[in-house]
Amino acid sequence: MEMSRRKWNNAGMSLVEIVVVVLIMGILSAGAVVGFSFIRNRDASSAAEALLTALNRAKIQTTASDGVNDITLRVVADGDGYSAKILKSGTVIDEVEIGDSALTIVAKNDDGSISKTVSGTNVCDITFQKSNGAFTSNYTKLIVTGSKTVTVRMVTSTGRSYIE
Amino acid sequence: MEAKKHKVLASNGGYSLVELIVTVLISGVVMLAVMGFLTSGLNHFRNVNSESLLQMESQMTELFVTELIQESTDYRKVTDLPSGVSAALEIERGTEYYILALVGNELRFGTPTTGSTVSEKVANVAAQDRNKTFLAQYVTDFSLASGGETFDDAKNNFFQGTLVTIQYQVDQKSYTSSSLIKLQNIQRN
Repeated sequence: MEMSRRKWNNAGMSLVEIVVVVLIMGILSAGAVVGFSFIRNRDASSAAEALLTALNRAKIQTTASDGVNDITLRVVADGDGYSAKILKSGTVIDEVEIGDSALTIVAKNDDGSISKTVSGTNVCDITFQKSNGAFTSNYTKLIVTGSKTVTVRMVTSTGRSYIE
Repeated sequence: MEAKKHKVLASNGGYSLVELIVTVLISGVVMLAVMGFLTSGLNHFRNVNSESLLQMESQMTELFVTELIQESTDYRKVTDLPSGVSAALEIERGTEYYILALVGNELRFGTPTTGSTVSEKVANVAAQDRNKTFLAQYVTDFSLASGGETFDDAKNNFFQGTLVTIQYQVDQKSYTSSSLIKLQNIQRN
């Protein structure tokens, strides 16, 4: 009897034990998901991607607008983080979430004589030329710093942007 | 009776190894099916994504190239191409002089700073810093009818124009944009 019990123990796990294991796994994975999204919010590269999307949208909006050079891309920091607003004559027509307020965003020109850190009252306005979509604002790079630093380059003469 | 009740309420029998194996096998099969749906969905998403990416790229480039050629006072296709450049165009606008060059899969635009021959000028623009010259990416071909031709706008108004074709490709998805550009400042023939 003792011998056969050791060879083939049929006791297994009870339903309660399995339910407890599943519950613990659920709690752990929920925690992992929350932690992951927090890391994502701090991630500079996803913020740079969002900035790139906003820049491209604003460029297309400027060239497609019925007005002349009435579109502005405004990068702002508000309560919960950064966002890029596309304004038509001062009215918001589109908005892209950039990222968590734990990031810093600095707008610069080539020689560094202009350097603007985006914060509450400091907004960064980027504008385009309607005729060919080139930049009319002076900034040539947006530097996003989180757990790492990512630079979005703006090519003044062509109005194109890319992530360095 | 007493024994049966006890068994139902708090059976300590648990699952046997065979039962567990069967469960794992069944969930494996279900997982495989789910994975299949997921990958096909992902492929579809990628396709749609690259198509919209190319359309956006084309939309942004086409306007720039159109304005550039439309307002030009002269433009010439470059035949003597330096290595690494697969197509290039010289553009004059009054006293301004520009080069449009296809370098790898990128369109670059700029004014040459050195070079006496056309080939050297194109090579100079191609070698300039990307953050001064980048115009478009994913471009595989760029062509236009050299010199302009006479077109009819269907109301018997003839105008000088040129057909510009730009081909884009990303992840096996390709996109071609063609636009007829009316030349404002060039009169030929």
